[in-house]
Amino acid sequence: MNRELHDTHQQLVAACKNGDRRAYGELYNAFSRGMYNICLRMMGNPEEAKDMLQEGFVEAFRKLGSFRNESTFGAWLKRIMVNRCINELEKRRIEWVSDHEDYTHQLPDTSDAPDEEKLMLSVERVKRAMNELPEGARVIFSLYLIEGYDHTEIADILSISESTSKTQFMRARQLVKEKLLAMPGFEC
Amino acid sequence: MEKDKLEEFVRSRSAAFDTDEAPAFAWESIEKEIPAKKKAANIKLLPIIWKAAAAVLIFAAAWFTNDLFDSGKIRKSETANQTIVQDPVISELIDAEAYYTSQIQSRQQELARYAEEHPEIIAELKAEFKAMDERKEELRQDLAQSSADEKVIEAIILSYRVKLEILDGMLLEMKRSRDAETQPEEAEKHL
Repeated sequence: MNRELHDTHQQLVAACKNGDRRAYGELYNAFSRGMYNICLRMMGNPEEAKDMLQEGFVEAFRKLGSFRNESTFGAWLKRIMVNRCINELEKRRIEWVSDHEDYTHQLPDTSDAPDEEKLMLSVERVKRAMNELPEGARVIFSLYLIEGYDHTEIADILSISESTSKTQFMRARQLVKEKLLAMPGFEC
Repeated sequence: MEKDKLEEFVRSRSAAFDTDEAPAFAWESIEKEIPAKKKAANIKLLPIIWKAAAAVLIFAAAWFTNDLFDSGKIRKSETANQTIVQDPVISELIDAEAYYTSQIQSRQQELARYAEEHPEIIAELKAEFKAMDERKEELRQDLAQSSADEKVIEAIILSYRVKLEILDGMLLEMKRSRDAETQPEEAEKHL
């Protein structure tokens, strides 16, 4: 993020802390799109994503007094949104770790890996493949590749071990590739 | 080790995955939950401070009236003053003072818990009480020089009652203010 934008966000946060209601609206406008897309990737449907977006912003605004600029406001807000979504998903007893199969045995070695040229990568196709993943796999794939958390952070967020996070990510990545290969031709 | 093409593709285009717009009207319900500015406590406490000012005025009026009465009286002698201590009205005053002093101390101890959150109000209260104590001291001196004048005694007791009333009012407002601040946090736990 460029310095100017970062400073603007800091000023808006300071204004919110002083009770400026207009500043709350500006912070929402600056971050709502990004946060909604995070919620959408995590929850997998627009209705729940909207609920998480609203609850996440309300929580963030209430906790604003505890935000000390130790990270960017965006990173702080993102973590609140992710935690909200994880809590909601856990109510559904989502399994972050698949007990039913030891997937590490099924991970293909390089020679068996899908021909990556045939994946016909596009944002739209990858999004569609992600939407077809089981919830746990979709969340880990998103957290690692799009939200930019490393496996240590994901392990902390999901209360799993780092090695489990890595294994589950590899499984999710493999599944995305399989979905892409099974998808009809290039559309975008 | 060769980088995975899918990983590389997604990482380098992560921003491009934010294709959806936040739903319209999502803001409306968020806006309703924006925390109120924490100056409510000051506004709510203003009437109490005004009450204190009014009490001082009443107090001053009582003292002034008493002074007028005194001006038409012949001052009692030193010997007469010694008999005041035995006067049953004075004994009642002593008992009343002991009661009100303990009640006021207890309220002040309770109020001390809020001192950190509202230092300006506590300072204002101290100034008001100091002014009231000065008036009371004048009355007490007046009492020492006269017979057990009931109006002076009433004015002294009134000063204690007004203090107590102010302290009770402040405690109530500060508790309300604290509850209003903590309620959203409580609600948050249940979200």
